[in-house]
Amino acid sequence: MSNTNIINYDGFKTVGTSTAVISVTEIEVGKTYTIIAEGDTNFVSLGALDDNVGTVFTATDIGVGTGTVELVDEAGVLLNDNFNTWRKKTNGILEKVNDMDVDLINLTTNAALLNKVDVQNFTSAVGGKFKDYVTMSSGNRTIDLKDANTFKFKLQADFTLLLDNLSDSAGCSYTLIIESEGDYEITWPSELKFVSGGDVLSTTGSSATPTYDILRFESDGTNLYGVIDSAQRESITVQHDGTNVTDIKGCTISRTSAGQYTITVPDSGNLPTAVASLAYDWAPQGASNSTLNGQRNISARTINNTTIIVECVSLSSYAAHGGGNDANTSPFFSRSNIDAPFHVIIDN
Amino acid sequence: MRLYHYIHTVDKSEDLAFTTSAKKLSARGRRIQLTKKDMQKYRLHIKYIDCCSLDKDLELEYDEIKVLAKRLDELSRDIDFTERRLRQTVVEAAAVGKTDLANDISQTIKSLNEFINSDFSNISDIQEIDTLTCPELHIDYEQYYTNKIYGV
Repeated sequence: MSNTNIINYDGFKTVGTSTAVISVTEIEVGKTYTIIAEGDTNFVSLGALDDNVGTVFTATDIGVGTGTVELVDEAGVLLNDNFNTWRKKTNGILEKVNDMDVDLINLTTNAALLNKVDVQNFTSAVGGKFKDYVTMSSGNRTIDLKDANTFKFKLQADFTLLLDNLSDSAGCSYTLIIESEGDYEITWPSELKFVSGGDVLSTTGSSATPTYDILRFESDGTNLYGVIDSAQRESITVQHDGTNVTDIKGCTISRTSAGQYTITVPDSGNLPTAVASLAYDWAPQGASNSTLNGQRNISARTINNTTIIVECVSLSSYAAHGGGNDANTSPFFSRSNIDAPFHVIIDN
Repeated sequence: MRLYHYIHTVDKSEDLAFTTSAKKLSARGRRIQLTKKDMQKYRLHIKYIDCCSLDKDLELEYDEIKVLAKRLDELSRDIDFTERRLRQTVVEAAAVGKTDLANDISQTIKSLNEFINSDFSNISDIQEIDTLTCPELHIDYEQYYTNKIYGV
């Protein structure tokens, strides 16, 4: 990663600039320094074992002369300290850095800076960094995880999504806003793991009326783990004239005959709840459009964790002549399966 | 996101299902994937999916007898409904002494019966079967004859 935005933190080592080297006259008693240039200064009188360049000492007095020193990180941080030790020694520098309105810091060793602990601002900060890709055309498209933590793009073609700088993103949170304009597919990177709800976005959308999906991910530096918002609540809108289906998200719907549907949902480990209703087309049915009572009904029943059966039936009753030479009427009843536009909401 | 459409066998049977999924389905059983063009081409096959089968070359075929039977069953229900209403009307016409009208209604009932008992064996195209209809079903005979009986 690039060494950009080095933080100069008062009380911690300043790196990457010449201001780290100071005159012995600027020494503060009690702090630890490294001798940079001996000059005519007597470093032994300041607490050092000798006057050699590179000797580390804790100042017992303010120096005189032309010698120079460099402040050693006062907390005694060692390069092989683990994170928690580093945090303890630095007395919670993370919180202090946060007080400086820095969203995230990255701790790293830096050869160019003599392997001293370096505090950097990782530009893919936890909040407030947004990048709009506007349009994602076909082919491979890369999202640089250092660029921002919230990305937005329009889905206007099939493309393969790639991730850049994933290894530097551990601990970061990301949001992807996808504006879908139609019948296009995203091939997800293998490092992107969907925790639940699958990886299926809304299945409708056009340039005039796009649909939106929000994906949220957490990074461990190796993979991104996340969910599609509302993925747990699979909303299926079916407008079925025998062929047309819209917005089925992560579900699959099969029609085996008129009015007979099987919906398969992702296995969440629980029985899904389904509510079905006839969507529209409430006109009278039957011969001469004279059948109205109980004309169409729908049922949705859960079979197991992944299977819901939906059935549309037409139920009719009417009074008519029952035969013979009298004028008496008799009730008649009929039932038949029928394709009708319906809507199912599944809580999975 | 894209929707994928398949026609495939159900479990281990030869029964077919028309399935729509937002994800590509793994290969199980015999199946064909439908393009948008196929969807249009097989629109009626999908409508009568329970009358279709996949041959050994995975060509989608329909059983014309089954399709015709389903269509005639639909028509038969509507005809039966209409006939029952007309039978009530013919009794009313006879009761008020309008014998000619009663005969006319009887003739209509007879026409309906003749239609459903006609020979449809020469119709084998699925498009023709799907559009098969009985002209008498498109006339509101009940209102027509009631008006004549009661002069309203």
